[in-house]
Amino acid sequence: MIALQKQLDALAADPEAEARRHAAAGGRVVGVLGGAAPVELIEAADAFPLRLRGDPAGPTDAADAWMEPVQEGALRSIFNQLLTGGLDWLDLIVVPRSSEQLVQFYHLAEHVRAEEPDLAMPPLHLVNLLQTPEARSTRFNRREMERLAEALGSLTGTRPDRIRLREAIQWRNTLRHLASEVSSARRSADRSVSGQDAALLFLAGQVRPAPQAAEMFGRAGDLAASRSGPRLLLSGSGQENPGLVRLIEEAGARVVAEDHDWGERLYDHEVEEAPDPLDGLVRHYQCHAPTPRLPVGVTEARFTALLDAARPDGVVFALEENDDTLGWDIPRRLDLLKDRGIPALVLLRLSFFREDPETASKLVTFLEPLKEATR
Amino acid sequence: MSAKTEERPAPPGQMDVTPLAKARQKSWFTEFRRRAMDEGEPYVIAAAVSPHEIFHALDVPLVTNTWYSSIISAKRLSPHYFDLMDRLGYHEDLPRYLSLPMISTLDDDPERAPYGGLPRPALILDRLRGDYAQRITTEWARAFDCPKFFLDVPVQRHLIPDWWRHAQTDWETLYGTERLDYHVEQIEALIDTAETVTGRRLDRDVLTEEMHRINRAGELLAEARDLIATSRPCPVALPDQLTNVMAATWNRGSQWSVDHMQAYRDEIANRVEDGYGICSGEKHRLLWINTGLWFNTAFYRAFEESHGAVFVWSMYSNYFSDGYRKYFEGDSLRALAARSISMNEQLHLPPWMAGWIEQQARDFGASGAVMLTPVGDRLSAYGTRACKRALEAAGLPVLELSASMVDARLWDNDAMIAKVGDFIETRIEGQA
Ligand code: SF4
Ligand code: SF4
Repeated sequence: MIALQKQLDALAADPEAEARRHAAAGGRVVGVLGGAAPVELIEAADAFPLRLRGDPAGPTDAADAWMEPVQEGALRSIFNQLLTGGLDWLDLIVVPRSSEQLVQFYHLAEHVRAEEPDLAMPPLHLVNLLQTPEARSTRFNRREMERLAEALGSLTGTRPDRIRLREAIQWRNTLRHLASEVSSARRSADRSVSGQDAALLFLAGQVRPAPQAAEMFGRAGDLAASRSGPRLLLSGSGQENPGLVRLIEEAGARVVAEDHDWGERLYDHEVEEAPDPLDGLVRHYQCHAPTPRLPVGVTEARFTALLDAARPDGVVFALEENDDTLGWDIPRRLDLLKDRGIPALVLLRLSFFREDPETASKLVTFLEPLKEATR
Repeated sequence: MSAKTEERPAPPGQMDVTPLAKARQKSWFTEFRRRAMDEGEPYVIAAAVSPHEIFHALDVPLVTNTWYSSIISAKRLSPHYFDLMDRLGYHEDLPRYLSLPMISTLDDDPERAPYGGLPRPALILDRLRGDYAQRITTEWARAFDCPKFFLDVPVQRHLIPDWWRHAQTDWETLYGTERLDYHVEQIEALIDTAETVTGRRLDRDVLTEEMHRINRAGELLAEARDLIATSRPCPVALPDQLTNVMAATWNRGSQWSVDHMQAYRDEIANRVEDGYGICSGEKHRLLWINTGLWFNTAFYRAFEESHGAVFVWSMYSNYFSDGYRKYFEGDSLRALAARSISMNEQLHLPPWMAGWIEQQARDFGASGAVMLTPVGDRLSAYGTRACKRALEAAGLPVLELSASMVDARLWDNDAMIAKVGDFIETRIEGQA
C-alpha cells in the first residue's frame, strides 16, 4: 500500500488527476461549484463529481473581458478556464444557487454561451437551492433535485434510482463520519494530524470518489505526530488552496478547526435516513450545506459548536477581497470570543492570486503572545 | 426617494408637476411621522424591491430602508455612523449605504438620529438579495426586538430575450410557473404575518383595485416615455423624470399616482406640441445607466450648455411602465408575485439589462451612455461589464464612471464633469 503521505503529495501536485483518468477511460465527469452540490446524486448516476478549483497562478484575461473584478478570485479563474477550453473535458457543470457569486457566474456563463456559440463550454445545470427553513422551500428543492436526477440520468444513461442513491449516500456518510475522526485526530493533545494534512484530506473528498477518499481518511492516524504551538480555528472565506494554512503552521501554530467551505464543515452533518433517500438529500442541502445563505442563526450556532468542540487558543478570520457578506458576522463572533477570553486576528482583502506580504508578519505578531501562553 | 430638503430655485425647464411630486413626498412623510412616530401606529420597514402593495392595501405605514438611509446621508450623519461601524468591527468594504439605518438603531441615540430615530417596527420585510441582506436585517430585527420576514426568490433559470415584451401579459411564461407558485405561496405567508403583526385584515378587492391602478399609471407613463423618446429636442430633463416617476412608484396603487401620471403625461404632450425643449441646441442624447446619482441630480444637466448633450433616459424613465405593469384577470396575487419576482434580474443580469438598454438607446436616439458603477457595492457592479460590452458592440459608446456612493463629499464633481466632457468630445463627436 502506498503511504498516505505520498498519496497526499500526489493529490496536492495534481488534484484533478484522478478525474482525468476517469474521463480518459470513458467515464463521465461532472464538475461542481461550491460546497452545496448534491454529489451523492452525481455518484448515483455513475458519474465522477469533481469540485472545480481556481488556479492562483493562472490568467484571468479571458474572464476579465466579461466579468467584473469584484467577483471572487477563484471564480474568475474558473471562468477563465471555462472560456478558454480548459474545462471542455467535463460532461456537465452543476452550479448550486448557494451564493450570489455563483448565481452571477451561472448567468454570465450562459450569456457568453449565447454570444459566442463557438466556445467549447460544457453545459451548466443550475440547482435552484433555497435555504430558507420553510416547507415550501423543501418542496421547491425536491423538484430541483428531481430535475437534476433526470439530467444526470440522461447524461450517463444510469438513472440515480433509490437503491443507487442510498448507496451513494452511505458512502458519503461514511466519509463524513471518518472526517469527524480526522478532526478529532488533529485536535488531540499529544499525537495529532497537521492542519495542512487535514486540508489535503478534505480536498480529497472533493476531487476523488467517496470510497477512495474514505480509504485515505481511514488512515489519517498514520500522519499523527506530536505537535506543539497554539491551536487555531480558521474562519471566513473558502480556502481552496493550502497557502494560508501553510503560512499559519510555518509561523508555529496549528489549524485544528475551520468553518469555511473547503474544510470540515463539508462533512460535519450526515445525510439523514428517509424512506425516500432523495428527501433526506433535499433536507441535508437545504439545512446543512455550508453556504452564506443559511439562516444567520444557524451559522452562528455552528460557529459556537465548533468553538466548543475544538477549544482553540485563537481564531483567525480570513476574508477575501471584496467580501460583502461574511464581514457582517464578525462583530458578534468577536464578542463571543471576548467572553471566552479567546484572542482573534482579522485578515481582510486577501487576494486569491497573491499572498499579501503583510499576512505573514501579522500572523507572527498575533501568535507571539499565544505561543508564550501555550508554551 | 431623494432626500433633498432645502429649497433651491427651480432649475430651468422644470415641469409644473415636479413640485407637486415633491409635495406629495413631503406629505407622505408628515403622515408617516404622525402615524408611526408620534402616535405609535404599527408600521413596516420594507426593502425597496418588495411587494409594498400588501401594506398599502392594509393601510399600514411603510418606509424603505433606502429612504431612511438617504435622510441620514442628506443630514450629513453618515460619517458618524461609519465611525461607529468601524468601532463595532464592521470592515470598511461592507456595503454601507443599506446598513446605515441598522447602524443608527444600534447607535441608540435618538438625539442624533434623524427625526429621533425610527421606532420599533411591527415587521421588517427584506428580500434575500445577495448574501448580506439577511445579515443586516437579522441584526436590525434583533436590535429592535421585532419580527422579520425574508422573501427568498428562486433564480430565473433561463432568460427569455426581450423580457419587456413579455413582462406585461405573458409573464407566466417569462418567469416560470414553478417560481411563481413558490412566490405566491410566500406572499400568502407574508400576508398572514402582516395581518398578525398589525392586527389588520387584508381586503383582497382593495388589493386588486390597487393592482389595476398600477397598470393604469404604467400606461400613462408609457405614453410619456414615448413622447420623450420621439420628440426632438427632449421636452423633459432627467431630474424631472426621476422625481415624478419615483413619486408614482412609491405611491403606486393610489389614485394620486394615476392622476399624477396623467398630469405628467399631459404636460409633456403640451410641451411637445409647443415644440419646447429643455435644450434647444440639443446635439447629443445620452443614457444614464445603472445606479442613480441621487445626491447630485444637477450633474445630469451639466453638459447641455457646454456640449448640447442631454441625458434623456435612465432606468427610472420607464422601468415602472415596462417592469411593473402586469395585466391579469382574477388573481391579483399572482400578478403581484410576477411583479416582484425578477425585478433585480431585469435590471442587472447581462442579457436582460443589456437588451433592455439597447432597446432604449434605439428608441431614444441616444448616441452614447454613461454608466455609474458604485465602488464597495458588488451587487450593483454585477452585469455592468457584459452590458457595456454589448452596448459598445451595438455601436453605442459607453463611459464607465466608478465612485463611492456612500458619502456625497467623496464625489469629485470637477473630475467627473471633465471625464464626461472628454467622453462626449472624443467618443461621440469624434466618431460622428
Ligand atoms: S443649447 Fe445652450 S442655450 Fe440652447 S438650450 Fe441648450 S443649453 Fe440652453
Ligand atoms: S439600481 Fe438595482 S439596486 Fe438600485 S434600486 Fe434599482 S434594482 Fe435596486
